Amino acid sequence: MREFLLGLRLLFGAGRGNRIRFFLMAAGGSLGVCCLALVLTIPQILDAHDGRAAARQPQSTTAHAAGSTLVLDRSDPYGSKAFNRVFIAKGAENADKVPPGLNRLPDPGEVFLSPRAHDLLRDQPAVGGLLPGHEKGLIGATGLAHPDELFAYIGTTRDKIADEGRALKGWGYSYAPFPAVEPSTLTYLRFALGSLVLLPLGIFLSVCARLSAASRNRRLASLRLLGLSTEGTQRVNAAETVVAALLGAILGLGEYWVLNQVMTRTGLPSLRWYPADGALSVSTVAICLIGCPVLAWFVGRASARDAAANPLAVRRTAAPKRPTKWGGLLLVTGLGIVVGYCATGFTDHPANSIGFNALLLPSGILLTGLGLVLTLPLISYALARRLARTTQSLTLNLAMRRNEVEPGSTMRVVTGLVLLVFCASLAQGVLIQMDQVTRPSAPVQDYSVALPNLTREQQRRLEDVPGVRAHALMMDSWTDPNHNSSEIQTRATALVATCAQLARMVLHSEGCVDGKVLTLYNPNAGADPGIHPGASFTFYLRDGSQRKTLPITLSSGKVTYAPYDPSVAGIAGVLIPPSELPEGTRPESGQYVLTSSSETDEVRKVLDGIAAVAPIAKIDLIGVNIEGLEQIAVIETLLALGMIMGLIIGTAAFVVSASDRAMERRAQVTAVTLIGARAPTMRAVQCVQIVLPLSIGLILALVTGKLAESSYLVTGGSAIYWDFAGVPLLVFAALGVVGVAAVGSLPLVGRRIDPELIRRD
Amino acid sequence: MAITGQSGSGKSSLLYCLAGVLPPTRGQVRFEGQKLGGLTDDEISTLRRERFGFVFQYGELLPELTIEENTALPLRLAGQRKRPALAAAGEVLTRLGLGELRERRPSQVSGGQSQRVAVARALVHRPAVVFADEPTGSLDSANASAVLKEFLDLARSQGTAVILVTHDPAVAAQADSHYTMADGVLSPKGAA
Repeated sequence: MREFLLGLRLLFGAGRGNRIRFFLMAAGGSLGVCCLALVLTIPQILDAHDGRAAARQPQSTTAHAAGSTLVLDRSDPYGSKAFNRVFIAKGAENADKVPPGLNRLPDPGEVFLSPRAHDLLRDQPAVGGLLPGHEKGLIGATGLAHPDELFAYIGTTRDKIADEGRALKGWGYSYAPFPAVEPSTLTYLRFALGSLVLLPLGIFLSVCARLSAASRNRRLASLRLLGLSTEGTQRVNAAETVVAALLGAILGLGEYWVLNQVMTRTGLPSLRWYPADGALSVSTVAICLIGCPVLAWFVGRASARDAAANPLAVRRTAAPKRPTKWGGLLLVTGLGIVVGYCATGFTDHPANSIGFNALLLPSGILLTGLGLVLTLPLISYALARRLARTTQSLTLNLAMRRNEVEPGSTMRVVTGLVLLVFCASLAQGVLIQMDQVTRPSAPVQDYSVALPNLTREQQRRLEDVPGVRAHALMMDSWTDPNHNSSEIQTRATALVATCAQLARMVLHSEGCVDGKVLTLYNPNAGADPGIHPGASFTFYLRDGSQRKTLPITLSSGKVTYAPYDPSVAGIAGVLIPPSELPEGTRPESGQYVLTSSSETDEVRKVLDGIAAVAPIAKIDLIGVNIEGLEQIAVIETLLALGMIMGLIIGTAAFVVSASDRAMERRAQVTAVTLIGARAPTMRAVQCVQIVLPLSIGLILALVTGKLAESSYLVTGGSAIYWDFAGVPLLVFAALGVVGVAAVGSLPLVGRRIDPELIRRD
Repeated sequence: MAITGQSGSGKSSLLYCLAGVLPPTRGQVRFEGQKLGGLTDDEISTLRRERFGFVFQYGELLPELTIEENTALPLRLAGQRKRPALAAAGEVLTRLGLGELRERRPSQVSGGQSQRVAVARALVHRPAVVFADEPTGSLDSANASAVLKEFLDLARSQGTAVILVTHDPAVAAQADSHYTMADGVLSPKGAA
């Protein structure tokens, strides 16, 4: 305790520089604690979403008596979101059972809307088609998963939903039908967010604890030489870091409170929450207020170890020791595991992620990341030593000599940014994995809209929706419902499209001739015995109120084609050219089919485009569930948030550390400038000193990060995927980091020479 | 030439004014006919690099460079290639009895040796003037006397003028001329 108080006395009794350093530590720490609080609160926010979604689930049975209250759930895509509608027909039984967010069940013709749905109805009155009735009020926050949800309770009569409706027993289940993020994905998400935020935060605290290391070490060494014990010297130093961390934790929690208030008003793309969802929990406050100072205690003690153990070496500024090689061992071990998993991707039996692999693979990735950080000083040292000896350039010589004697401190400057690139690669892997399991494997996505729901104008405008690369009509031939059931009636499904449109909707087609009715023949599917030359079919068309028939007799002409799986074109047996349809007619009860790329962003864009043109049309997405897309959007948002937080902390660590080093070297820089070095030379030295190890670190991070990502994707269970597409993005990001670091290091050398900096008397 | 005076009398400020580092509040400094105040930053740097040398109280050697590289620094800054610069540095170090220490770092030599290296660095490029601010202030008397003798001997042999600032009368006594500074006024030693 005595040493702790001495540490506080030294802290507040020291000069202005020391106090600035203390407040810098506290401010930096507060930034980190704010990010930490956000990471800890995200699962709580998602749980709150799922909890409310579960609490409003209707408990129902299929068998319903005459007086039962009926309920019918509908979930349709609206743009890239799900629009949930619950139709309720009140009966004598259970009419008093009310879902959360409502005071009473809606009567027939009454509609209760979520605020988002209310806004949508105001902006696009055509949505009223989805919401039969008049708006009676808003659903309360307790009945909505999140503020941005499209949700409606619609009162109706029993006869309207008698066929599909279920008898209401009550409300609320213990689980949500579609959680905001699947629990298994949430585990990976926590890991990724932890890597993205907590590792840079640890580095930041370590950087802060070592600020003004040289002058502080001299002070600690003096105390040690004056008779303070080794432990006592470490405690003196730890006092300062603990107080700074505690102040930072308190400030950080305050910053988080403000952030929560702001973010609940502005929201994030695809993720919004109520202020109470993001409120600080007792455990989060405890972790921040106790965990951070405890961590700071250990960091503070560790950073004073050298001064306490060998004070004479500090006073005489002994040559620093060569970096240890043990970090290299960790990297080699981690890479060995990761590369091993990657190698299984080239075999017929790639490794999976269950059993022992579930432990070994994350361990390999962690060891690789840790080894990367610990090996950087060694690599930087070896390279700097070699370059300094061989180079003819004075700038490079000076920069490399600095890195040679201070590889550890140089690495503290760059480690946050290097780790960020490593983690970004892993984040790409998580997104790809999510993407693979959520979207269909085909490179195209089909959208089917019932033609009766579309006006001609809407149909025409849908062709121009951005991202749509082909469109066609689908229709079934007429079958006589009164036909003698002993005879099998053949039904033909026809695709009304030109050869060019067909070519854009399928993998491969051959033998297509425009203007002719042709049989569609897929060699990989069984031939339909009813589709043969000479077979006749009748299709009904409509021209306004007039019904017309289109008789078709198949000739021997056929198109051999290979459809994507799954796709609408795969179920068609006949190709009818659009010119066969009389002017002004279209199928009476067909589908309008649009095709786009199956890239997630493209699908979302097309869905939004369709909703803008035909807001109440029911859209069938072939092979896609909208909840999966929503989950991806949430995860992307969270990972992007993690990246931004990691970038903020990493950049803060870089700026603080680089500035501190520049401050500590002011006397030497002044001396060299006095003997004739020009400011640009010293700036170039400063720049090269940071950029070179940073570049090496980033290259290593890119290579090891991609290997770690590949090992994760290989064991993911989906198709083996080597993410070369993500490389340019990471390379550009890394180049951007290097560019910013280079530019950021330039102002650290000033033009003005102050001789006072080298006078110590 | 030695300048003595009490702490805070302005002797170091005068030294840095003469070297073109600090601008004088009044008057002007001329070197070889050039007004230092009229030179650009680059021209002043060139002047300091080629015609001036500096010795500081604590040496201010760069800890990351070897003794040899520290000594060769002014030559390297002037654009000389590495090998001839290191050779010239080795020559000066040998004359000062430091030839054996070339490959060592400043942290691996004593305070006196470190200050000798600072002297070698100030003289290696044969400047016209060396400005020395308390060059022996951090050394004990025996070491101070030895370093100063070697410093002045080498400077005299090269024809280099030395302007040194000190508060040690013993150091000032070894200079050819001696001035004192009091309340910002420079007077020859002994003048009333």
